[in-house]
Amino acid sequence: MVLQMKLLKKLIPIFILVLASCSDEQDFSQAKDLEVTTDLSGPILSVEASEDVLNAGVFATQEVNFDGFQNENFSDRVLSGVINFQLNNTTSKQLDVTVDFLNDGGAVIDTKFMTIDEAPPEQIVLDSIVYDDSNLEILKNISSIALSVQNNSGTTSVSSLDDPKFTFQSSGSFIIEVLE
Amino acid sequence: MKSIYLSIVVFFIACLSGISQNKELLYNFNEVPQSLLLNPGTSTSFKWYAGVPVLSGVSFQAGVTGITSNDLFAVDGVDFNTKFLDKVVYGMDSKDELSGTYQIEILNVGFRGRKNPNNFYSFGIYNEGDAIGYYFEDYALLAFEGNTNNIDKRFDLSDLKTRGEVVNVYHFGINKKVSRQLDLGFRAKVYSSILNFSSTDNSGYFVTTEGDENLLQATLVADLKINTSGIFELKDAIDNDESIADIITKRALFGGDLGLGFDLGFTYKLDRQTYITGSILDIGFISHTNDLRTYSLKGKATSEGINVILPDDLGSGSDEWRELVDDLESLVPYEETEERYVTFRPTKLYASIGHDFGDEIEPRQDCNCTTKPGGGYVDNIYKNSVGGQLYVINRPRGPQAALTGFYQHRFGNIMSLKATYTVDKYSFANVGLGGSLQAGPVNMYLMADNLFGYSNLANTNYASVLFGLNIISWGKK
Repeated sequence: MVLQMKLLKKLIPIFILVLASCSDEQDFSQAKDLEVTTDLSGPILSVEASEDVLNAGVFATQEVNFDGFQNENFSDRVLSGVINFQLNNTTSKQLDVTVDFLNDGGAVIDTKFMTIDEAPPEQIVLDSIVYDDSNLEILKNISSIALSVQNNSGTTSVSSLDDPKFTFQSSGSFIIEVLE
Repeated sequence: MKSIYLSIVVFFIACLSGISQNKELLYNFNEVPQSLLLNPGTSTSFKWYAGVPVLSGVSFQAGVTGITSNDLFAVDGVDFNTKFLDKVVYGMDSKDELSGTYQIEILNVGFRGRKNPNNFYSFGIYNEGDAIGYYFEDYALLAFEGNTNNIDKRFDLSDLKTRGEVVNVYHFGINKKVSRQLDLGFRAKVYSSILNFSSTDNSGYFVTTEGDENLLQATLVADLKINTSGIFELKDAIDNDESIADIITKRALFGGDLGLGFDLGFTYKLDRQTYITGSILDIGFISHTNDLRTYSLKGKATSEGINVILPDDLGSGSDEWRELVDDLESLVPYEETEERYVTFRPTKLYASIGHDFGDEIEPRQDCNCTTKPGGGYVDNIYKNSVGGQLYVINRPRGPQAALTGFYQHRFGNIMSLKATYTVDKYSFANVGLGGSLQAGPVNMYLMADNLFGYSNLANTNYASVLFGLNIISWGKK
């Protein structure tokens, strides 16, 4: 019994040590410093026009409602971005292409002008608009997109390529603040 | 936003006390009545016992893999965002987890049958909380990197895998010494769930690829569901500064979601000093029917944005953006419903082989039996035991196992110590120590895991403590 009590006296400090264990200093308030930003990309608008459409007139405009940039989940969190454009032309027309961004009132708040030569061979034009601190409000107020195409090659020529058409494609890449 | 910070802090504070549900120190520790809860077929020698209410069995355990608190919260002058990216976003994967459990015995009583002393009955109530969350790797990658530089990468939505519950368990068990060689045990359980959340069977992906009609194509295939029960009534009460005690008490006393389950166990003596044991715990389910909230996102959609083909769409006058959003919402609808569901308890399995050696200890029982063959319910008790144990628990990502080697030494009938070395997902160097002290009829026990981790809790993946107080009688005069 004496031996057991001696042993017990030795063991109690071990358990006390377990319960009163050591730990490096921790600063949990660092969690407040966490910032999460992400780089998200997605398609925006594509327009396809056959050569017949271009031969029907020298000028065509297509306006499309696009409220995505005004959605508060986007507009409250976007920090910067770029909208990319790609024009493809297999028609026999040299084209002037204007992309207008309009606000809720229908006013043009940003414009991109591009020109593309006639085919053949197939013509491809790449361009973009960058949005940062200097013009980010424009992006947030875009409500619709108007695409205007000026046909500078008359209304009678026909491309020698199969299925001649003009296509406008666009996508956006944006830095989004997930957690500030 | 504060709640997000709070969640992050709570997540990692929990890491400080971390381990899974393995109670390898208590398993087969026959001097402690609570060992019956880990193996209803364990060898018992008590005439009766009564746990001190609320103090008879208290345990806290949690575990984390892939990271420690020190990795993130050490005062080291390193920018927190840098640490978070290195250690969490790029340091953990979808197999890493945070899990935790606690158990508080409210009542635990056992007694030997008068007519048949080979039967030992026990019953009681305990409250138990259990939760596990796996690291949502691809969700985090999407949040930190986005898809711009991850074209063609499928972000795996099945990385959302979590479950948790708080439940009151009412149990009644019978332990029967069938022969000198064999003890069998069975424990019936009624579960009264206080709250539950479960999201374990998700699938799907999000991918961005080069488009056909446009520059990019985004595809979402989702089958996600989060079931909850018992959470929003509590949340509303807290939001309205009302007491939640009544709600919890009602649910704990069979007023919540109910379920049934059972435990099985055995001890078989291969010879006088060698034995094997096994038990399977919590084979059961709970049916959730109250205070339900189910969130689901299910469907498949591919989008290349707004596509206009002329002359077909010339001057259509339609709201193309609204149509796009409506189409996507109809293809992948997000729904909040109240859906009944069933959860299965995290079933656990223990198995062991052990060998007793050294001097025999005088039995404490008051009986006319002997420790010789043909005697009553008394087993031989030796000073030393050594052996190995296996523990397996069913988790959302499949079974999780731990292997333990143990040595137990008994100082007469007064005190018993058990040391363990355990290898599992959390640690390859887990040394535990448990002790039980019998002071007259009062039994005290204290057990702690991963002792080396206590030298710096902030740097450990794993720790646990369990302790309790019982009154035990062997009926010896």
